Amino acid sequence: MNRSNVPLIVIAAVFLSFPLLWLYQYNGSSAIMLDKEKSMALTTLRQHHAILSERVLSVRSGFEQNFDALASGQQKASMGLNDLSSSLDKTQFKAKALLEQLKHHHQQRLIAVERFKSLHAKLTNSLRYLPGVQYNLLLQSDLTLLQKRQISQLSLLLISSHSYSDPDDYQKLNTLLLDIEHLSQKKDVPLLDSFVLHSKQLIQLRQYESEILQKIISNPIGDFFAKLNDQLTQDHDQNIIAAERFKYFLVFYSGALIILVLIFLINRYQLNQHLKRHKYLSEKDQLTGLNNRRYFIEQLERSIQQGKDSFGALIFIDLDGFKAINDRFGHSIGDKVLRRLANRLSDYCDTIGERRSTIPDIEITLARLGGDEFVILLSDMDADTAEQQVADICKNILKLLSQPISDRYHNHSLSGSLGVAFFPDDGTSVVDIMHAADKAMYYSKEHGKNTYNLYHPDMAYTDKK
Amino acid sequence: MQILACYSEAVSGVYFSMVKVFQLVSLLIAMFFPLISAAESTQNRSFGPKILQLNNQQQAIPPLIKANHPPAVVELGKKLFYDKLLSQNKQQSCSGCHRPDHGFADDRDFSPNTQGGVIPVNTPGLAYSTLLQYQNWAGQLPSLEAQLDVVVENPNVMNLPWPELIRRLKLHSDYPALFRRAGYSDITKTTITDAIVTYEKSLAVPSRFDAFLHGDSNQLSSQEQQGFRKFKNFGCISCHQGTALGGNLRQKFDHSQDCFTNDYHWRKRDLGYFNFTNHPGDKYYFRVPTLRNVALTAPYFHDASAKTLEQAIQVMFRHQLAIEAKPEDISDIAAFLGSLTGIQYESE
Repeated sequence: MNRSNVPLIVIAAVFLSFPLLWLYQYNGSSAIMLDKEKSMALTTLRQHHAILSERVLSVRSGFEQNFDALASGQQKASMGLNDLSSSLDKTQFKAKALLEQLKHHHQQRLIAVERFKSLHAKLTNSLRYLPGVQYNLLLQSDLTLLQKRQISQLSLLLISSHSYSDPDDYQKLNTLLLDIEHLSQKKDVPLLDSFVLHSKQLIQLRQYESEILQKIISNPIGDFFAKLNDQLTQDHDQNIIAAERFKYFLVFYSGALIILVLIFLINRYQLNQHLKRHKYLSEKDQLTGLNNRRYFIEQLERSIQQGKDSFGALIFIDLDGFKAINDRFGHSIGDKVLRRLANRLSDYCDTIGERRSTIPDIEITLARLGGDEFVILLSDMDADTAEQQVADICKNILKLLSQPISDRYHNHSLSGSLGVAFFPDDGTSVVDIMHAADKAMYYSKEHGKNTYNLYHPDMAYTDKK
Repeated sequence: MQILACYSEAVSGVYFSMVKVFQLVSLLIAMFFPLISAAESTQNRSFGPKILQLNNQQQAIPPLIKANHPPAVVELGKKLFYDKLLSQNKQQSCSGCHRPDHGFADDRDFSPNTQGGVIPVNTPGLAYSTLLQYQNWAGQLPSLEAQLDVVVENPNVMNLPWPELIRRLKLHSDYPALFRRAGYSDITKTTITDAIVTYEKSLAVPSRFDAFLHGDSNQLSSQEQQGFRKFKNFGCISCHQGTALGGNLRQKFDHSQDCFTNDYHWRKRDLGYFNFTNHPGDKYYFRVPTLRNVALTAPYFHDASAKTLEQAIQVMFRHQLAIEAKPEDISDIAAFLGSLTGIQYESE
């Protein structure tokens, strides 16, 4: 992977991971889980209310003598309601409205239970008090046996029956009460008056209790449970549908995203290819594949700009007798010869590059300046050994150039004239150094060819034809 | 809805048949009670240990059974309960008003608040608060956790915001280690509340009366047993009922007492549950307080109007039961109430 691709990959990863995150958050199964919690909360609340009814009834029928279970039932119902209201989403407006109504009826029901407890406490008290009055009445008063029996019967009826729903019982009770009331009006027995008073109170309490019980049992809260359940089911369906739709959207989204990313990548790849090609074209010589003049000058500039510490050499190479080959055999053969020589030179430069361990820190650049002119740039050299090294290299190059080049029909024999300039000794600018090397090369050419010369300022720049 | 309807139908059907059965059974028991009890007593005398002789009287109230709590948590809760760090001015701890030597109530009429005044209601005992279904005098709070939340942030009581309290505890030299030892991973509102509430729960210990309810009739003297009988026969038990002998219903407090003043601030207090619901039917309704530890928690009532237990019993007789009680009734019932004191406090 290229380093320039890293930010691209990061962006792609982020954008591709978003849909996955969304999918994780809004998938159907999470909707199922959440809605299941809601309906569980509702069911629990229902159950608590049912248990509350049961406990109210068991308190009323005397199976429970205290309100511990009833009060804890109330608490649980309240807690269940809190759970339910906290489990609903903010967006479930209809369900929330229903829940508000449910809350109202829930409160009504709990208040009714509270009233029931209060009434029941009074009733129990009254039920305890009545037998005592009756006992004293039977012991002390001068009533007839029949009247005493009536009193006992009434007391028994009052205590044992839990509701006056049976009309026969109720009638019997009323007639008995009326009789005893008449009796109490006739006779002046204070205990009898209090007995009648308490009996009436007891009957009234029973009736109140029945009414309250009616309120508790037939509270419309059940309707709201059913409505809320329906609403929750509807919301659940909608959630599932929305999740499915979201899935489709996500598939489209991720598909489009992937296509976009692919197009982008392909485009980038092509651009990269173009860039490479243009770079090649701008830096390489098209005939020989060596570096061209522009690249060479850039390199030279860079080497010079590295400062005074960098020491280097420039070797100018001009072929002798190449013009004759061009003239005799034509340009195509001349080009072939040039290419062969360029290959030899670049192979030789590569071997120097490979031998870098013996010639430390040498950087070698080969370029064709144009026509039959080549140039070799040696930079990062050691100033003490540079002359010796350059001399070796020049000799080797002369040897390379003078080897004959065999064609299908001919053996072309060539040689080269070399000029060497050192920098920064012989010049500190590109133009100066090039000029110096050029001068040295022409000096070689004029003094016998197939040789090399190091630049010296006394070299005469003789006219070149 | 259908479920509930079916359910209520089924329940009422079962209920009416049960009522019939119950009537018959109760009649039969009433007729043969002397015979049955005689048979039972002879049977028990022949083989069972004496402690199993439960009679009808003892079954009216379910006895309290001591629950076990993790000791490290209880210890942490106890340290917090006694620590003055929990109030804003670092002058008051929970135990400053809920005094352990007075059944975790205050022997002063009204406890001082952080601002130099007094809290306008008497501090109730909290040793058995875990048994109560409603907390506070009006019973507006459903649980000890909610109660603690209100008390700590209340400017009248501790006046300390929770974040500040958590910061104080985190900076303290001992608490982080104690919390870790108690099994809490962090000091938060939840863990502090849990520790203190666990300690408060651990205070609910059985009394002699619970041993009596379990069948050990020797635990109560004859006067105390007489008092229990009167407690039931006069009807005290119809409101002071359940394991805690109170605390699971609200009742109207007779407001014709002499102690009620005309000062608005104090009169508002006497409205009871009305202050929290604004429902006119809730005026003068108070939670029925628990009678456990009652002998230690003088003075009595929300306005601390009764200074002694006898006075309180007399007020209850006169205003709630409309009975003029004889002195021996009052002394018997007071003796019975004395048996409700938790066993560990008697040694202290």
